[in-house]
Amino acid sequence: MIVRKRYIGESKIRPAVLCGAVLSAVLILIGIWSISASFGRAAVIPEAKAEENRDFDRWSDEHYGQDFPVTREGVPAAQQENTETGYQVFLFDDADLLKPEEETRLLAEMYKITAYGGAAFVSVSMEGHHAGTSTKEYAQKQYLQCFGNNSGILFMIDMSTRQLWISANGEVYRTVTDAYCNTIADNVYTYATKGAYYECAKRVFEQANALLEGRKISQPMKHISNLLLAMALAVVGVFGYILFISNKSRPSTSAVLGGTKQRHHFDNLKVVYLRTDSEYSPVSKSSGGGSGSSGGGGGFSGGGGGHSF
Amino acid sequence: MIGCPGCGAYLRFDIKSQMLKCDYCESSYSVAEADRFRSASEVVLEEGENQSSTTVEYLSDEEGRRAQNGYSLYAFSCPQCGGTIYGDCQDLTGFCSYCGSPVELAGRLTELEKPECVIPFQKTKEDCKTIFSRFVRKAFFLPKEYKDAEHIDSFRGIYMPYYVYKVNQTGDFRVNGKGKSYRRGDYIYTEIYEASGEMDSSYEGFEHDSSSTFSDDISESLGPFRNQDRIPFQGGYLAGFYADAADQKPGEFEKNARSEAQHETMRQVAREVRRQNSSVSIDTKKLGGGTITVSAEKTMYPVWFMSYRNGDRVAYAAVNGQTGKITADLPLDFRKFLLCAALLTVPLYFLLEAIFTFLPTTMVPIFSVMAAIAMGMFWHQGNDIMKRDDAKHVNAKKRKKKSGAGAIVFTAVIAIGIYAAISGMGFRHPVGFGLSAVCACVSLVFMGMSGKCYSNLAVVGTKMSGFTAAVATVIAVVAATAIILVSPVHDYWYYGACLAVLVCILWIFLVIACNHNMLATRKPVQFNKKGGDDRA
Ligand SMILES: [Zn+2]
Ligand SMILES: [Zn+2]
Repeated sequence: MIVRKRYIGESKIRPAVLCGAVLSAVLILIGIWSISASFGRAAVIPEAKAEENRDFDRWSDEHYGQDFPVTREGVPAAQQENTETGYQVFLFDDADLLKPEEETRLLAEMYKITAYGGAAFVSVSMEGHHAGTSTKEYAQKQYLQCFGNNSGILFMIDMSTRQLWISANGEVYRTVTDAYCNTIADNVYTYATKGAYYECAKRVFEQANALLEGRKISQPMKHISNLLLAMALAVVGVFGYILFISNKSRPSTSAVLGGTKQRHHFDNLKVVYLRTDSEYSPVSKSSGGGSGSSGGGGGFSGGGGGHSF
Repeated sequence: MIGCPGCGAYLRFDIKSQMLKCDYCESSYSVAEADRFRSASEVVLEEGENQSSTTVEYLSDEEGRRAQNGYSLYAFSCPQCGGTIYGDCQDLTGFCSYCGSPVELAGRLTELEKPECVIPFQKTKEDCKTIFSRFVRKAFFLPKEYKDAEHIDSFRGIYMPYYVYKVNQTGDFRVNGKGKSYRRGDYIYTEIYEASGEMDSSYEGFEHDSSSTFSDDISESLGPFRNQDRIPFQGGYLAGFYADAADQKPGEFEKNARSEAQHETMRQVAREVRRQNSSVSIDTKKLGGGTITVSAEKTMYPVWFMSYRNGDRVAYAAVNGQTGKITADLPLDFRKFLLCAALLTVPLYFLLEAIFTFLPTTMVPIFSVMAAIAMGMFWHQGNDIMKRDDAKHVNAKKRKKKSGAGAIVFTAVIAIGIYAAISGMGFRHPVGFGLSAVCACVSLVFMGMSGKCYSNLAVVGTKMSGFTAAVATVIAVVAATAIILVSPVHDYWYYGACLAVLVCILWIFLVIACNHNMLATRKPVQFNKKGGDDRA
């Protein structure tokens, strides 16, 4: 019996297989992307329920057109407070990214969060306020100033580092985890890139609210990353397995010796002390440096995620 | 061939009963019994009498002993490859065990030198087929034909010639050992002891195959045999089986047995010394001396052997006829590999979905790590082929003691240094960049080392293809690292980098797979008189 089929190693279909693999990978990626994106869009942007907003509508009617107090020093004044839960809403647009009516609409969006925790929007101007600290650290500092370690979410657009950051804590953080903070930031960063800061901020709170209400948001980043990683792991794993299986291992020394018949006999065994060798080996003078002072006051106990834009 | 004393039909060695059995009249004879009347029938044959009317007469002990220096078998020489196999029947049909081509051969009676010992087959052909089937079930990537039942049936029981070495090491020994070690101030003091005495160590059972047609890589991974079970050779054990002839001198593998024994003796010495003074430890790498004598015993080991011909390459599978250990050349069907990887992707994807949310910037270093692993595999394979083809000595003079591992560590240190310098500059993804940069350096080093392997192999005449894949991988990893350094805003840069690296990894694997098939299969050897093992 002569075998007709050939191994790929000897045939001409190598480039074809490679192209096929790449093509299918790309197709799968695009497929997943589009599916998840459309799925997410449907799920994320529900029409706001009128009833829930009645409160706020009344409030915004009264205050529309007013300039909101934007205080940077000391404990900031809340722009709005949910009287039932006591959670507050803050909006500090230092970089002046939002028009007044956009601020009002954003406040309406943020107000929905107050059922679960505080909500804050902070923009940082090009000059910045945080030399030496990262956007993340600055966002956490701002969060502490606004809500302490209570439940809440803070979204920061940092124009000085061109970074978005979402910090969350408490009850909100239990739902809007680091992974979701990262996902939301990834979902909205393109708006910030385009300069649509209101859209960007609105979507952050919209999606956070969707999560808090138990709905789903689109996670294209997660799907694509995991797909790519799954492919790579599968390829490496399967190949490693093949190499492992086809490895013709030689028996170990102990196996070889185990297969032999041995006989040992020692006579007149003497173990005599000869001398003592000395080797110069200076004791290193490293002072056991004490651990750095830990905890400079109450740190931020929540988490978050971000994206550059 | 041994005729049945009852009916004249051929007797076969029956593995289950370890007796010679007649298929027709179902009578059984012990091997010792049969060996006597076998010699008688040969005497009759040589006298030119009619074969069918073989008269069986028992030889006296005296005559039996005379026939013990040699034994005769039919030799079958394959017209395709020239390999010779010996058997006790007159015709051989089926496949040539060396090149896998179909043959129908008539044997020519040949006198062979009689080995001293034999290990009779313990595993039946059915056992062997079960073992093989179970083994290939794990190897999903094999070409379908390899697993064919019809093909599996071509396993042939062959007695392979081995040398079993006995080593004696006797005489005085004197070695130094280290005792307690302690520190006083800036000095470390170590007590030095001397151990001496007389030793008398003996070993029996280091084995090595003595046929050049039987590949060393197969014979080594088939072992070890339980050679304490070997018994004095008698021709009857070969009834119904085949044999290969020894064509290598015992001296050729003596040094292996010698050094194994010497090292083991030192370990035993160290153990004795510890028994006397538990703080003294002997460096077992040093050898203690004494006189060493080595002797070899010709032994026949049972091996189930199969060859699989594909185009102009052949793959071997062998099962240890005593212990059932299997070893096989496993050609890889890359399409099956891709299919399997694709299938595995699905559960892995859902598993990852359930646990992780990776940032695009985190993905890049992960892929860089995998690319570095792939490059490591690539180099490892090149190095294996180089060792196999003995090409590593090509540049031996030029090459100073520069180990690959050292080079990797060195570059990694430099890379970490660069990373530390850059991360100090307030740069965006320091960890990811650092990891990716290290992987890029490691890949580069692997590429360099594989390049050396490839160029060495080219000198020896082994042409290897696919180095471009290694270059492409390094470029892809470097590009991915650069992307992290620049850290563009949009995700698709990172996804693109990952995809590019993934494609390169696949490409590398494709190259490794092709080379693997070259390794896993061999060119059927063109045997000249002395035989040349293409793998030796
Ligand atoms: Zn019979
Ligand atoms: Zn042949």
